[in-house]
Amino acid sequence: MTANVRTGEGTQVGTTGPLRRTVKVVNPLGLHHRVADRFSRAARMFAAAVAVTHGDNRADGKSVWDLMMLVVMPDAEVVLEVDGPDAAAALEALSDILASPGGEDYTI
Amino acid sequence: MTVAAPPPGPEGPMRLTSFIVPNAIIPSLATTAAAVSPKDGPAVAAVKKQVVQELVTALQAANAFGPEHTDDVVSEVLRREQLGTTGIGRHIAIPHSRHAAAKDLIGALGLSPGGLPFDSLDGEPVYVFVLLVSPKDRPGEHLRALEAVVRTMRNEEFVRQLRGCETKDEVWKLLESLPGL
Repeated sequence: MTANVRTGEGTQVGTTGPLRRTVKVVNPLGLHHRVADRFSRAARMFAAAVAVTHGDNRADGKSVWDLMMLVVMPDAEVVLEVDGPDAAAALEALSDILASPGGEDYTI
Repeated sequence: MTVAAPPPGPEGPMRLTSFIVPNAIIPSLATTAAAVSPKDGPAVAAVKKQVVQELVTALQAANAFGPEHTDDVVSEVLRREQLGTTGIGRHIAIPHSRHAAAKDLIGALGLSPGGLPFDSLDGEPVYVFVLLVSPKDRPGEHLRALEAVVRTMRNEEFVRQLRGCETKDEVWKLLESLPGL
């Protein structure tokens, strides 16, 4: 398949294989349980395989257990990788969850 | 795909024994729900409130915070629960809150021999509860504690042994025996 491989704001067109994007987790609580839960639920809506890598650790993006084991602190960067027929849509939707503060209640 | 290795920061992986308060271990929760359907929303909510009260009360009784905070900690944990269940599946729940009453990260551990409905992701009853209360200004510690619970509870053999414990001491010794934590 022809795919876009994006790192940060850069885009490389014409490469086959999974789509990747480096995303900064801007949530002030990091990749905490609620974000992990929201992310994994959204990831399961896509046929594409979803992986999140933080340092040397790689998580199945459809598993809240895996995601919670990444321990992603506020402002840390992760690499989002999606591979499948709806990868492009998944990359956008899932990047938004990681890169958005989400408007949640941070007092809890 | 799975996480390859325990990731946390420079301090290394967190131990459950570093935040679970020994006297806040409840080997047999008083909360029961034999007649409650997991689809009965109000009844499940009542069960959740009861078990959270039991765990928070155990923390307070262990002097983890003053008695004046008990009701508010319960309310905050339940308010957090309303934003999304912490019943993460595989019979485990991690109700939690960040609260000013906690000067350090603290946790209670409760076992339900009969299992309790908790709106779990997989719809299954919960047998193991780890309730966390963390200071408001230490998100990293909170993340590491959640990781410690998840990493530990992935081990089905450990969970089987934990559910077989009948006393606080048995639970504590099992937690202390975990290799590599």
